[in-house]
Amino acid sequence: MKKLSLFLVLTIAIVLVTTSCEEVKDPVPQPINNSTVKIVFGLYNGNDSINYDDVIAVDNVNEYRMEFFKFYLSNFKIEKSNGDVVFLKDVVIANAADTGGMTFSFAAPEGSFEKLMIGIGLDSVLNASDPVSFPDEHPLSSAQSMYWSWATKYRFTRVDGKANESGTLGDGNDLLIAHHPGADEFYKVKDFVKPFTLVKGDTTQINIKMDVAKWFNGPGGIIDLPTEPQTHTAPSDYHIAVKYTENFFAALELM
Amino acid sequence: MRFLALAILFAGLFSCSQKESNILELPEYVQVFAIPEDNKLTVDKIELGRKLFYEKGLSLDSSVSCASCHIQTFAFADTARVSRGFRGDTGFRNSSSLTNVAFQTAFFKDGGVKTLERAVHPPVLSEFEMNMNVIEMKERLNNNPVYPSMFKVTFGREIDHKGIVDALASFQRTFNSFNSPYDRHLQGDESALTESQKRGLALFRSERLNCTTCHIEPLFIDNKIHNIGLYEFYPDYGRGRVTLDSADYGKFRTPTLRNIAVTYPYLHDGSLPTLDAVLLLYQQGGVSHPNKSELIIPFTLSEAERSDLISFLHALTDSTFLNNPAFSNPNPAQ
Repeated sequence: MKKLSLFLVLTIAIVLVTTSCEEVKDPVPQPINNSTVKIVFGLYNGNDSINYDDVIAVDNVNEYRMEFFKFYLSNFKIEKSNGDVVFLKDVVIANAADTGGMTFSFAAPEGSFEKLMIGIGLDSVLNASDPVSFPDEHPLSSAQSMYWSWATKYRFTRVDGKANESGTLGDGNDLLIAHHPGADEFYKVKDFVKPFTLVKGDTTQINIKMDVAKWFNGPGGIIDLPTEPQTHTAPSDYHIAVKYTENFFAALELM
Repeated sequence: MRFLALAILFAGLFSCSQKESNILELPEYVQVFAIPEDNKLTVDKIELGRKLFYEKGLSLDSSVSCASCHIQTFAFADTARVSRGFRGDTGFRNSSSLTNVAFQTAFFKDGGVKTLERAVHPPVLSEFEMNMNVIEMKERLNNNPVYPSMFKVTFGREIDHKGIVDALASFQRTFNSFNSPYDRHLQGDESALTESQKRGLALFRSERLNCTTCHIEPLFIDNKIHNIGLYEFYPDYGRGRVTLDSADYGKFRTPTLRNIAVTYPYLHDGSLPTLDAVLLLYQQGGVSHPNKSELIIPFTLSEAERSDLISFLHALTDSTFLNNPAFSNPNPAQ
């Protein structure tokens, strides 16, 4: 009985000492997330707002329609004018087919900020994740149908659909579209520079335009859909994935 | 009361250890493979994995299971050059034998996947193979009268993707084949190999043929990738498809030679129908390719030697493995 009492006293003492040490080690107050930043991505074809499954005309084809469109965004941060950076979120998946699937809200501390930073795609650590280890609703779960099992990596963007060069969709001459770029070297952080203020208890919305037309004709070059309808980031179509990634990056801009 | 509690605790521990032991019986000349900490082998898990391995409901159109392309009597390979999957679609590689798959540290023909757990689910999700998605797969299994309770007993939780993967990997970790005439020869049975097979084994081990540099006994693998000079231009980039590095083009994982006589056709694309054809390729030193392994050097082989060598390769067939009822289909006819 005496031994047991001594053991209990020692255990309590150790717990108290370690707990109090932790408190001393971490005196810096954490910012309180008392505000919300809401980031809304909107699809456009040039200056026209579109729904993801609209039939549109883009470079080199008469009709183009997406049937599946998901993409990864990661390492959301906001930066103050003094250089202080607030980390918002590690990773999200945008799903154009879902209502609100391209809108993301994050808790953040109040204050004035200079820019928003978003990683387009996944950094090498996130890209090396095991999709089986996540619950279905997690962005990196295998349930998202974004994992390239043969390469043990993720597609950063997955656009599946159809296009028709000179006729109309369904006339028997459709091209099967599958643009699936994804590789560690494709990850890039985009800065959206615009002063904004987060107010305690309020939601501040930031709108980002995604111009689909630029996917096929941007700084990366022209994606000639009739001859370049697919890329799986394989050696034979890697060049298309590179162009697509660069164009996709450029297609995002603040509104 | 205290004694009763202790007795229950010990009884529980004892039953657990029983369930986890004696699953693997390996000869002493084989080094035991590593089992992941988060996927220990248990009898229940293996049995669940066996049932899932033969489950056609894991393919979107319920037409194929893992066992459709990994057929036990062919050492869990397929005699088709390229197996047919969902809707009869074909991929572009020959089905790999799963013989002693637990000893591999690189999976698939290109060796790009490093764990068995990561290797078992791609075929289920591949649009050319089973074309299943995780949500649908779980829904189907949940609607099955057997699987929910099997998962509960095995993992203590509801059906999830990790459980499916872990069970499939566990079952495949039992695909251990060490009862061939060659094994009996290693264990001292002088009559296990014919005279021709003994001459073939000596040839296999000879510096002249240099087979054992890559096909290292007793597993006959090296867990490495090589370009053997099959083509001047490879339509399939091999490891290069994964790494996107041209130095890896045409490189494929060394397959085991155990049960090789029943895993025809051969090579990554099933392009060579017979062992004789494969030997001829090596004998000629393959064709020119910038990535061709320096180990691929032409050699001469008489007809008699070729016959002895092939005879030895047949001595690597383990008929008990090919017919072991523990690996057979436990599901009612689907």
